[in-house]
Amino acid sequence: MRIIKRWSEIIVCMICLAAPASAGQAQQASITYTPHWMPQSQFAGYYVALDRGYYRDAGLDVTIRHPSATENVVETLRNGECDVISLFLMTALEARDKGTDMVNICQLSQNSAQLFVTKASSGISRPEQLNGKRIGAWEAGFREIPEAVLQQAGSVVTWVPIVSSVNLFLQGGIDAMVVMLYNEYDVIINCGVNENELNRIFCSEHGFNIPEDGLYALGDSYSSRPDVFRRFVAASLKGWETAFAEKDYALDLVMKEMKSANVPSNRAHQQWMLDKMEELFKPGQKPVAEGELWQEDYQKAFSILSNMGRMTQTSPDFQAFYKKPGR
Amino acid sequence: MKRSFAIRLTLYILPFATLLFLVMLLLYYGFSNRVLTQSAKSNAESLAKGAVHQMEQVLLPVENVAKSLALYVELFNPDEESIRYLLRQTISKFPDVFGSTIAFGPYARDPGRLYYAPYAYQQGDSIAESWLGNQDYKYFYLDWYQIPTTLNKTYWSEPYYDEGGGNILMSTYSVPFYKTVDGRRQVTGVVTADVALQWLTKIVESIKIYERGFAFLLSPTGTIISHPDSSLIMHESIFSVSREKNAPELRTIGRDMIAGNSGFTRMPTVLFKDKARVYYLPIPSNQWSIGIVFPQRELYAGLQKMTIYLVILGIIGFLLLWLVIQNVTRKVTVPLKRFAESAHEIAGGRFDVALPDIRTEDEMGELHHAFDYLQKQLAVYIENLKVTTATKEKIESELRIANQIQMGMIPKIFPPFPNRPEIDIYAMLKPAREVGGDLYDFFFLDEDKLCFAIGDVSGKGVPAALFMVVTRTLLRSLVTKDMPIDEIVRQLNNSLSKENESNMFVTFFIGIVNLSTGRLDYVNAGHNPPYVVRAGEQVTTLETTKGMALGFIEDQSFHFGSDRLMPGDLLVSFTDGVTEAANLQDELYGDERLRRFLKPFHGSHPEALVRQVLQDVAEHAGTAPQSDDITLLTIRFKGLN
Repeated sequence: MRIIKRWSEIIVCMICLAAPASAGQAQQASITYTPHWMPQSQFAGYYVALDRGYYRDAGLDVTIRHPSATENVVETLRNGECDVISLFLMTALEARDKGTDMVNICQLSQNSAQLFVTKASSGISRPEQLNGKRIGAWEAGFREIPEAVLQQAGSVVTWVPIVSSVNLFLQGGIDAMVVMLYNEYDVIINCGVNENELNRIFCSEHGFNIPEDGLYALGDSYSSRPDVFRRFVAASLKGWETAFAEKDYALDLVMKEMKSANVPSNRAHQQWMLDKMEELFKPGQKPVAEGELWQEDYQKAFSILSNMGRMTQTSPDFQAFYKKPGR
Repeated sequence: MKRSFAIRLTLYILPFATLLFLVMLLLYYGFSNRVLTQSAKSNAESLAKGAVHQMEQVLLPVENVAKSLALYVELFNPDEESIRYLLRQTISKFPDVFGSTIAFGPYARDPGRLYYAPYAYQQGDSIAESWLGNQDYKYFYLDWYQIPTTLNKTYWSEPYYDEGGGNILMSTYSVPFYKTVDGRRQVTGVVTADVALQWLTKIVESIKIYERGFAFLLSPTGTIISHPDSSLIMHESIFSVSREKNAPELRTIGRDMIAGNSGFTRMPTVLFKDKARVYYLPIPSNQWSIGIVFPQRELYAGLQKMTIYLVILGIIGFLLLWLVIQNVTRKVTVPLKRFAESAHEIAGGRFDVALPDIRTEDEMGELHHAFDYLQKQLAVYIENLKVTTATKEKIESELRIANQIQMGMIPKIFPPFPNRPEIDIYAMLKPAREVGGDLYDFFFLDEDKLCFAIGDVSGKGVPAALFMVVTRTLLRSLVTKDMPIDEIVRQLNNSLSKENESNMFVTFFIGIVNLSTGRLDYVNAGHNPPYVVRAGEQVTTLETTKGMALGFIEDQSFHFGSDRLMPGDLLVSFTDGVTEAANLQDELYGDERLRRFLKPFHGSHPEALVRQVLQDVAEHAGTAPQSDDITLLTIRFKGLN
């Protein structure tokens, strides 16, 4: 008798739990988010938001789907395979100029993490000294800002495309390499090169502190349900906040994601990356809140691309490009 | 509190023994430590070298295959069919080669084809073929192509997981090949040979050292390729572990390892909970590095166990030493105690008391011999003493008798002539020893004439006594009523001088008083002149007469002197024992003192005079022993009433 009573209780409870969930699901907006790279701490905030239920609480059913190594996420967005992507500001501007109707719905990174590294033994420590040198850079792109730094310094270099490793640099096959402070720079350190054996030339220190990671949606998509995207942005920012506050927890999620994606991972490096993310997200002197895009940054990025002859449009339309996240 | 000999001995020995033990233990530990570390190093070194040798046996042939292919391509520029045939043959003939490609640079083979890289690889038991290179696989920018062509050298790639080949860990060896264009050698592409690494990790995994020791393998970037913890493999590098575990020493080790060095050093407490050691050695062909790690505790486990045993043994040793000391000291002290008891017994007179039974020929034996000797000597001595004492007692008793005899020869009864009122006589002889050499005598020659004599024999003791007896006996036998006094002395001298072998002599005074007249005739043969105490406190000396002491020279003549005694006069004759009585300061009593002392005695009784003189002499001498016989003979002439 008693057992039966217990069972009935459990069943009642299950029904109670299931009811609002299914009701919620009916209301929940579905969003697929595709980060622009494979799992790592660069995306820790989204894992946290998902794991802590921030998206669910915001009435969102969010799926995080990482791209394959060769996937172009802009294509993925345009094809409607996802609703939101993350992208460098420069990449986004260029893609928009080339016809993808993309809007910035959140500017997470406020600073440039790009730098040139050279071996200290080479004595190269200023952009001018890079003239005539062979410089490794991602074959996939992202070298507009380093190029702008070199152009400003009057250095003409030979670019050596690199797919994914720092080994050519380590082996001495190139004089310098463009790296992300939060990623490849630390990879080099983790290959046994000490920091004092490297020279660093930060783009941000040569007038090009252009923000990087931002969230993007298709313009039409955004217009049709701006509230959903705003909720997504707000929950993501909350996720980031938690990730920086509870780094061990966030790193656990990152490591889990990396393991399940079968990506080589080590916690020390992801810790470094998360720490750097936190620094990059801070606006510093810029008169904007976290998550917002400063118009001057936008214009500067636009003009860099314009000067390189990469842009077809002449006047940057900030209002059309930037949809300030709601709070 | 009395500390026993055993405790004292223990206190002397144990601290020293402890110190010695500790020093030896430390030396032993330090030395063993070094030997063990050295042997561990050799052990690890030989394991590592063995593993490296095994790996090289696979890697070097693979390198040679790729090099041969590259040479062939460069020399013969084979057509596509030949290339593909060559690759298939390579895969089938060299099972260690998992896959192989001959990859040409952009448009290098065919101006119409950006990518040209036929690839043959193992697929199960058969050989599969494919073409590498497309928009998503731009092999020109991959390490296995880019690095050897950029650096113009052969290159072993960092290990990677081959996604097509069942996710196995692979490494690719690339050899660039060239084409000569306008006399210049240009890189045209690379020939590669892929090697699966399971066999290699198996070699490393099979290395076991001590209980938990293991081996690990690092790529040239420090990536962990083989490790017992598979979650580290390809994820972590020795440097990321170093940072995560906050162990900078590990980074130093890692840098030395990927620099191609070998070494033997301490490992930070990262891989084990406790201290560890690592030996590392590079693999020359692909610049990987093998490390062999083992917990230090295991290395020293035997030593620590041994040390514990030694300490326990040491403690047991100390206990045994304690017991031995107790035992030894008891063995030593028990006889000593018994010697002490024996000594007490011997002191109590029991010379035959049994000594402790010592049979050893050591110090204790010597002590035993000494005690034994002492015991025997004491017995002998005491026996001798008994005999000597008995002899002495006998002599003494004989001397006592001699004394009695001697004393019996001189008149000792006073007053000697109670019926002669005209005279009082008192004499006393105090020998310095049992028998003496002094003599006195008095006797009547007839009704009126009293003869008296006093003498002192040279020397003392028995010879003097005998000579005195002879003198006294001769005197009595020679004296006749009418013989002149000088004749008496002459005859006495002759008798004594005859056959006087021992050259003894006697000072002698003899006088004859006529009691009716008071006339005194006397002869003084070398004797102290007697005093006459006369009225009016006058003390006169009897004038010296010619003549030497008796016994010197025969036939010498003696003269006699005369005087007259008045009633109340006292004639005091004495021996030099009186005037030469010395005190402790060697001051003599002296003639002058005697003379002064005698002054008030005119008319006194001779006995009073003698006793008081003797008392004065005794007072003068004090505690000094009497060195000579003392004799006083005093006559009071009262005259005729």
